[in-house]
Amino acid sequence: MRVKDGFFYATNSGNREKVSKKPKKRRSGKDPILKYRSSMLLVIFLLIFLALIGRLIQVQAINYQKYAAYGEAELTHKIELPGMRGTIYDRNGNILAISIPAPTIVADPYQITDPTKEAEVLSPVVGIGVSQLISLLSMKAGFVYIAREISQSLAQKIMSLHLLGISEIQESKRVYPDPEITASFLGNVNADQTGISGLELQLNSLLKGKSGLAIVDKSPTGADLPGGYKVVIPSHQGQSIVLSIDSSLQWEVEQLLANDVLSTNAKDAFATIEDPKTGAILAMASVVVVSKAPENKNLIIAQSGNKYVVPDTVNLPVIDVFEPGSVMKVATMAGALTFNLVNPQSVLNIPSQLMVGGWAFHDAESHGDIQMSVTQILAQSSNIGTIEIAQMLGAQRLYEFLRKFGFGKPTSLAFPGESPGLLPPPALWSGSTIGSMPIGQAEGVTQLQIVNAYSVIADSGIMMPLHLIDGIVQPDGSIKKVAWGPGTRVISKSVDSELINMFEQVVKNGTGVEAVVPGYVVAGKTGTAQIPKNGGYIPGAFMATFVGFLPAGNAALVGAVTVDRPNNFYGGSAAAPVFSQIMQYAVTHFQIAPGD
Amino acid sequence: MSTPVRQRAIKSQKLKKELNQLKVIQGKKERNLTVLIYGLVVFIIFATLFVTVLGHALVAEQQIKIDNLNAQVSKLEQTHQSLTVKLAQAKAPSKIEQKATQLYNMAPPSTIIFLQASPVKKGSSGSGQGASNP
Repeated sequence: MRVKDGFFYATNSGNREKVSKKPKKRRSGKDPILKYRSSMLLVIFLLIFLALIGRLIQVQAINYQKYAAYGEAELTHKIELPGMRGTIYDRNGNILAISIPAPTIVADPYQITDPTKEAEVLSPVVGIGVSQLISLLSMKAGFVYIAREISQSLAQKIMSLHLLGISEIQESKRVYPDPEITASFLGNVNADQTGISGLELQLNSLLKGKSGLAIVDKSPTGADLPGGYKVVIPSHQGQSIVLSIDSSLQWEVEQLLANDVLSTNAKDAFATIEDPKTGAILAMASVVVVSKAPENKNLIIAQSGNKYVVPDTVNLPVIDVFEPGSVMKVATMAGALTFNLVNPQSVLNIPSQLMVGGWAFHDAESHGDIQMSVTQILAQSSNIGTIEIAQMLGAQRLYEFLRKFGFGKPTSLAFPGESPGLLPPPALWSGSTIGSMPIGQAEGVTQLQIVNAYSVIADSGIMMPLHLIDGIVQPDGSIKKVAWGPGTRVISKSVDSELINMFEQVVKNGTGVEAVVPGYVVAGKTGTAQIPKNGGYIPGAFMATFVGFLPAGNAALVGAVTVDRPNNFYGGSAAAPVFSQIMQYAVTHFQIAPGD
Repeated sequence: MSTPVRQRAIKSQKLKKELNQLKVIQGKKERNLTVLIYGLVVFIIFATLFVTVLGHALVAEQQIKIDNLNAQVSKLEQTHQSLTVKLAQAKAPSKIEQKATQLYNMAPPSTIIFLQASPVKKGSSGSGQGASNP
């Protein structure tokens, strides 16, 4: 070490470095004021540090969940993933109902600083009034629906406005591609995609999907952060179902019913077509005449002047209970043949009128005392002859046979709102009931019950369970057929073949000649009944019904047509021709050969 | 005499004090090496940070691409669904008949003719040895 130029130089390994010559001037540590100040400063810093540590412990260890939740809420947004409702197909794979994703525009009013300005921009696009939008956007809520289940293009248009607090979420929307043919039996779903009527309600547990949950990370400006989308709970689609309905037949039936109600000036009409061998319902249509055009023009089936025929939102074949008239004679005939009280050739004396319980019963066409065979009684629909046979059978056995044929109880269809009809037990019968019951005047039935009863005759005396569901679509796309179980024998085969021959005569030379289908042997029965009201009957108001099946010996189809208050009020003239037209279409559509 | 001695003693004391304040430092090479090492460490830290940020940016970029692809998939699925509905609507019997009657002047058949196939005799169509009833 040496001194040069007023600096000390430290030497180490020959290197030199300039260092300050003057030693630092230090204040004495013994300065009491400095010592006091230093101590105070130290204490203050220590206190501040301790306070910070305390706060850190409070935030990070004690209340961490609360603050973590705050942070999470600022960053993440929960999104409900809609569980799509299952699709409903017809028997040929045509879509009858399907759910599709539908954008919904929602608002977070807490984020909106100027509701009036946003409402003015939004109003012309969404088509909601400015005042209504202002009240929606000013609500004290974090979530408000602005427009639900709108089109993709409209959603894009709204989102392109880049309005603060307005966002798009995905919901699902139920679409019925052909509402004209499905409105009566499919029913509807509400905004939450829950079935509220018809098959949508009945099959809700199968069709309804399970909603999922996703979390999206967003920036403070509301933009999605890349990779911030996480599906927490995946959504599941509901099961898809294949119905036994045939869309083409359904539409044809509706067309024919619509033409009929217009030509006969009827109030409404309904029809059911069934495959008696399986119990599958192939068509079930209800049409009604309205004087005002519906908003959805697709629903208009036929039009004449200011009369519009549209599908009835009520599934009339299942729900409408009416006095059936002569179609009920089936139970009396089946009972009498089963107990060998008569045979088809047995001849009975038919007086011009028959007094039962103080009431006079007549035939539709007046006559003197005549003789008729049992077959003729059925073919000509003689009320008096049928009552005589019913009296032989007795009230209890008649009641039992009516029950056996499915009257007075719901069918296996279990359709929502299905009526069991009205069939009082013999204990409640008056003296005249044994006269009115066999001719279909003291009971109330649904058309479905009538079809169900005649399917027994059509299918060799066996009643198959009525059903609308053919199968359930499996995850791999295959269809698992629903097993509907074996049928129930109602009458013997021999009685059945006797009845078939008798019902053939109704169409060959009885009241149902207009039900004839060229080339086919048709069996069936007409029914004409007055419409009851307030303990009496509406004058001139009739329910006209025809029920039949073909080819008679080995029936492939059974169907019923009912026309409510037609001007040509007989079942044989108002309903039978429509039955014939429906069946002419059906036999070609299903390629049913006459000899089958 | 005493004064120079005293002065010398004082000087010596001062020198001792100053000597105490001196410290040994590294040579230039070593110090350069140290600076280099420190510089390298700082560089590595910054480089690591840069690479990390770059990696994040690349991941984010790819994620944006994935998100965009997912959005496209979702959009195409929606298009598929709406086309499915349109197809179902087009297949509706009412639409088919409307097209057939209005566009192609077709009409429902007025009569149905069924042809009865005559029973075929066994072997009648054959020409080989087995044809016993030609």
